[in-house]
Amino acid sequence: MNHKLQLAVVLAGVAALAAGAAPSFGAQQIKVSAALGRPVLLADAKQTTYLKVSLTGFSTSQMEKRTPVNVAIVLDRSGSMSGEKLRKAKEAAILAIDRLNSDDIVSVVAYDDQVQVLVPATKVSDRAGIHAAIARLQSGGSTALFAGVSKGAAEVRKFLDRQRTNRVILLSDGIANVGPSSPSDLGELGSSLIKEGIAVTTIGLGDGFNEDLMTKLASKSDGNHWFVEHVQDLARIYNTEFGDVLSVVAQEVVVRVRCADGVRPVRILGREGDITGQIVTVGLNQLYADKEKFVLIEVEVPSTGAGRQREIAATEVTYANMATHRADRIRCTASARFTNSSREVDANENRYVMISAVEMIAVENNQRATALRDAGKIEEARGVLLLNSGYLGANATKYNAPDLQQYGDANRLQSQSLSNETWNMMRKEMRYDQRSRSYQQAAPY
Amino acid sequence: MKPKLIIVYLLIVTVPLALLGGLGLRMARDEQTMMRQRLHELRAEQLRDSGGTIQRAMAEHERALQRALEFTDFETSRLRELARSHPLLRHVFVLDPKGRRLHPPPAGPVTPSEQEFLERAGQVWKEQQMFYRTGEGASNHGWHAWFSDNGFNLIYWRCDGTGHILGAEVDRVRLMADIVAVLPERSTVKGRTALTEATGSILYQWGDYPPSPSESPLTSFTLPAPLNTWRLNYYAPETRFGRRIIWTLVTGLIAVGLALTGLAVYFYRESTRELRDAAQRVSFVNQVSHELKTPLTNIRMYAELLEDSLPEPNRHVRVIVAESQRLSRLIANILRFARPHKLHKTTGAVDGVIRSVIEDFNPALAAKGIEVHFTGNASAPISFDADALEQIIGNLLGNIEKYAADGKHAEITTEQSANTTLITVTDRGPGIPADQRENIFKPFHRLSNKLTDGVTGTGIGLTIARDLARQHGGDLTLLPSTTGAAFQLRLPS
Repeated sequence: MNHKLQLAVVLAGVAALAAGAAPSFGAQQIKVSAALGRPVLLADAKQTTYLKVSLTGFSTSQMEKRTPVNVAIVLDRSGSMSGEKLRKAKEAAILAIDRLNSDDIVSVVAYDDQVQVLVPATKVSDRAGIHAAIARLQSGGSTALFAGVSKGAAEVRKFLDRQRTNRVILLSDGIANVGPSSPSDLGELGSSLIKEGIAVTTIGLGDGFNEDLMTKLASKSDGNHWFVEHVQDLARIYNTEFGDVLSVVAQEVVVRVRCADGVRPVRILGREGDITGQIVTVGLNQLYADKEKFVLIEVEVPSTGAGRQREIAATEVTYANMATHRADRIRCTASARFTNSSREVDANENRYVMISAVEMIAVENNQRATALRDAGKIEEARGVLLLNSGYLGANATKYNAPDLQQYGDANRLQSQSLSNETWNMMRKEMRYDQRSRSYQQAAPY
Repeated sequence: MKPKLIIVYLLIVTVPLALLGGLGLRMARDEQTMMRQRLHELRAEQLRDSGGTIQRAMAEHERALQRALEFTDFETSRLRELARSHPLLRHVFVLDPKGRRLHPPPAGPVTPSEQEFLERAGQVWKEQQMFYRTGEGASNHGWHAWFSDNGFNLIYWRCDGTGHILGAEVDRVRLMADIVAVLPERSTVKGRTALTEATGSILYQWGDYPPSPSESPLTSFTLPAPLNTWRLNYYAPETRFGRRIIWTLVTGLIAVGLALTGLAVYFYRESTRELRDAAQRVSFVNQVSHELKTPLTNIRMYAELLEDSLPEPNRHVRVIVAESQRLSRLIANILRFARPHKLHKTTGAVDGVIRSVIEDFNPALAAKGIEVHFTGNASAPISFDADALEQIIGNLLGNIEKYAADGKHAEITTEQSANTTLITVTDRGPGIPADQRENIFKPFHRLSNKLTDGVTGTGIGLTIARDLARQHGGDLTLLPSTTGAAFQLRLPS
């Protein structure tokens, strides 16, 4: 390779990196970019860096009509829901259903120790009938959560259509105690449902639910998880959730990253996915209009000589486009340049990727603190949270990221709430926070 | 008579009641056994139905798995994609005809999840000869279930045309969810059906009855392989129909009892009404007789005064006296019978009283040509009711006058010992047939009722005579005799 050509390639690489490598724009296509945390790496050293594949849904204004939905509302009617809770839950469900139109399909399932399909999957045309069926609901016995989700999923499956947003929205305020009830079992159910394009959103209400089970079910099926401390907020959460549900622009999103020879994928941060050899596969069920989701991968880059340019990974994103009703495929690559100057490395850091990486690492630290507190090691947990807070604070300054500062403050607050009285609620709060950061879930309206 | 009647009526009520009750109880017990049996069969049938629903779901899954495993291209990425996208599958594996693993790749990199599967299914690789069975009844596809640390695991495999074994690990939780989805919803039936998995923990349940944790199911159904560790259990509250039958029976018996009692009371009232009517009639006769007594006494007294005042006996007057005396006796008999009263005992000689009676009777007896012979040997005074004795002797002589006038002879003898006075009245009339010897003392009994015989009577004379004798502590008996009749009156001294 002659010198001139090499220079041209380098310049092209820099230009590409500046814009976020190999960007792809299209009126009715999601926006995909793949970028490295450090596009300029130190030469002659094995090192790791982060690859961020960012996906942003296009605006619904570009769609003729929004994606019709097929949603099952699964309500907990166990004894603990009696009174105010159930009344608010019913109101919230009715309000949410009122946002749907006659193209949409809805079903309502209620469970205690038994399961009842209040409204079998139907087009939202007989609103009065649906309202009446929900209004009749009364609270009962224990919590057959698994069966509730199973029946809800079965209702969605009646009109399963890849051109719709298929979703089960589960509300629970208690511990599942009839049927499979472990987080791993429910997670397994979630992973099976996502294969059909059914996401499960879980809404944990109050202080009695199992946050591990609820987050696992949501994560494995790529639905949302909401923690609602006060029943008054339930309507707001349903509203946010339906805001997501009604703005789906892409589904069955699969991000496949093939690392270049010699580059080793170390792990996926935040999300779950497969690493097989050089290939990293992460599935995202849905992408919402104008909202970004990302996949963050830590990669190990082999020692490379200074001045060289190396392709790190080729990314391929496939998804079902809800506007065009076609399967789209977008490809892009990320490359790195190598230098001997650590100043140059720092100067070229991609702030946008690094902030995400810091956030995901902080989430991992936060999870470690949760595990320590679960094991009863309160002091160690507090230490981890304070360290995490410091780490976030330092990086907030370094990358000028107020969000990281906020997260750091939150960690410090959490470190003060590890006592027995406050831990139950704080743990739910932390799980919710960990999960919504990892999956880039929007904050409630 | 009255207590006897009550017993009869009690029996009328209780016997049918007892019979009905016994029969009903027996029927109820049979019915109960039958119903329990039928209910049991019904429940078993329902469980089989639910089991059938599960089996149909399994068959559908089997077809879906068959279709999923119809690949001929064993390329790793394609098989991974299959496992990644098929909702029922967790992992796919391929064995070549010699049992060597082609997928997950034995040499190449495997995902952590595949690695975990290979370890979890370790036992399957050791027992893989089950896939290669040949000969009679050998199947080229099937289920295989096993247990590992995390519970129940299930694979489905088929053998393709080239001898390769294509298998899939079925998503256990998804299978459960799909089975839950086809089972009935909440129901208000007062019985609980629960589907339990190998560990005995409940997978799904329906029916509005919460069994206690220690309660054992009324009926169970074990699902066929590969879910043969799963059971459908049916729980229900103890059936109360037995109590209901007994309740029905008891109310029925009470109703029948009431009806029978009503009937008995009706009959009792009917019969007592007759008795009351009869008593009223007797009382009427009694009253009339009493009313007749005073004028008759006057008639008799004045007739006797008239007879005494006449210088010579007049036949007409004597007839008036005799007939009024007869009527007096009759009325006395009626009154005595209708209203037995206490004796008025005085001390005196029996003979004197008898003589005066004979004297009173003489004219009437003489009119029929009956001669009276009296032999009195009882002059010692004893305590007795003179009126009563008069009545006894009068009744006996009256009978002779009426029935034994043909004998023309009446004989009265008295004798006395230290503590007994015996009075014998004998006639030479037709006598009394042997079979009637006791009956003649019964009230209203007459040897002949024929009015054409020309003799009349009330049929109470001998009854009263014996009653009076027994009231004295003595008796009136008919002595055996060859001709005529001989009555003996015994009075204690």
